[in-house]
Amino acid sequence: MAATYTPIASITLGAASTSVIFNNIPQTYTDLVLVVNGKIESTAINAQVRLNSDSGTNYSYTDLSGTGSVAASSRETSNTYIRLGTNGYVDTTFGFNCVAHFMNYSNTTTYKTVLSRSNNANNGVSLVAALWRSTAAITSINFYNGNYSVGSTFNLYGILGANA
Amino acid sequence: MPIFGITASSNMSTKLTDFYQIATTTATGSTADVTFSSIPQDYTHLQLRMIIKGHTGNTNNTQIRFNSDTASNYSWHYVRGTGSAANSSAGSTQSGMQIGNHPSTAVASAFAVFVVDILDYKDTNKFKTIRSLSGYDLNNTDGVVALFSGNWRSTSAVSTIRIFPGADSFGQYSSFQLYGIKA
Repeated sequence: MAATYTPIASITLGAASTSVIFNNIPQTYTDLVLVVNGKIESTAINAQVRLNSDSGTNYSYTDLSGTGSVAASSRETSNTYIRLGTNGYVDTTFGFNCVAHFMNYSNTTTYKTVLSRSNNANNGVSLVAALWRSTAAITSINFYNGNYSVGSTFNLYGILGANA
Repeated sequence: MPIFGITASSNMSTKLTDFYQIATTTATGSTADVTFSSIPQDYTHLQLRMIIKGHTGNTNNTQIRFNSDTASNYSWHYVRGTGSAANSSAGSTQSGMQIGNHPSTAVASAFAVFVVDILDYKDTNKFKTIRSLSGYDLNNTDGVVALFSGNWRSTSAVSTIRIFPGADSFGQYSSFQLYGIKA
């Protein structure tokens, strides 16, 4: 059996950045896995991405989160972004971790669903299912809504199914 | 300073872990269930990665069984978000393990996604425990995201996995991938 789970690209910020983009993502895998360990320069945010530079109202999500005292669920529809975490997990400490699965990202038949598990040890944990209403293959992922700090890491992997 | 245009590369050939392809099945129409049989006993853990939707108009739960065991040897727990509330439930002495929910055909191109880990699947000294992250969103009033745990009260090595819906069948383009992970 063939090995898979291949590193595609790795970014470690050498300077604060208001945009982090993976471009020209190879279309040779079944799923993508994005791993982030980051913090931000100022006011806490929810980590958000756009796919293929699509800034239309083509995204939505349902989440489950726990704050240490309350478990809750919420939903937003017709958004202009995919939310990878909730409750302002990206703050000024290196407490934000995220593992996001972009399932069947390269097929051109289905809408794309992203499953993101994220946390900040200071304030909570969440699981998000997000939908991008497009059958286009995902070719780029853009973190666009925060000024990420030096040392923040963004790692992208590809997983190829058997006979895919 | 913005960083634009970091180019992802297909030339990074190093593999992250000993993570191996085992099998893939894709539904071409109405599919009652999917079975992976004769699973190699060469790995430490298994992982299922799936996109699933129903064939007709009903949302259903998604379940799995091992080794064709249909007796009441399974149990499960979940914590789940429905978009308006978080809730939790459990099932004991079940004939299968629930691992999440998949949507109806209300949004034709939208699927639920699943990442299911089956730990120490060939260890004949342990009952088998699984964990499942799953969810979907349809950009309307329907969506769910959940963390499930399941248990099969058997020390047998897992050699067959059957994935099936609580009712109805799986719809076209539902896709099921099985991987093996070596320690």
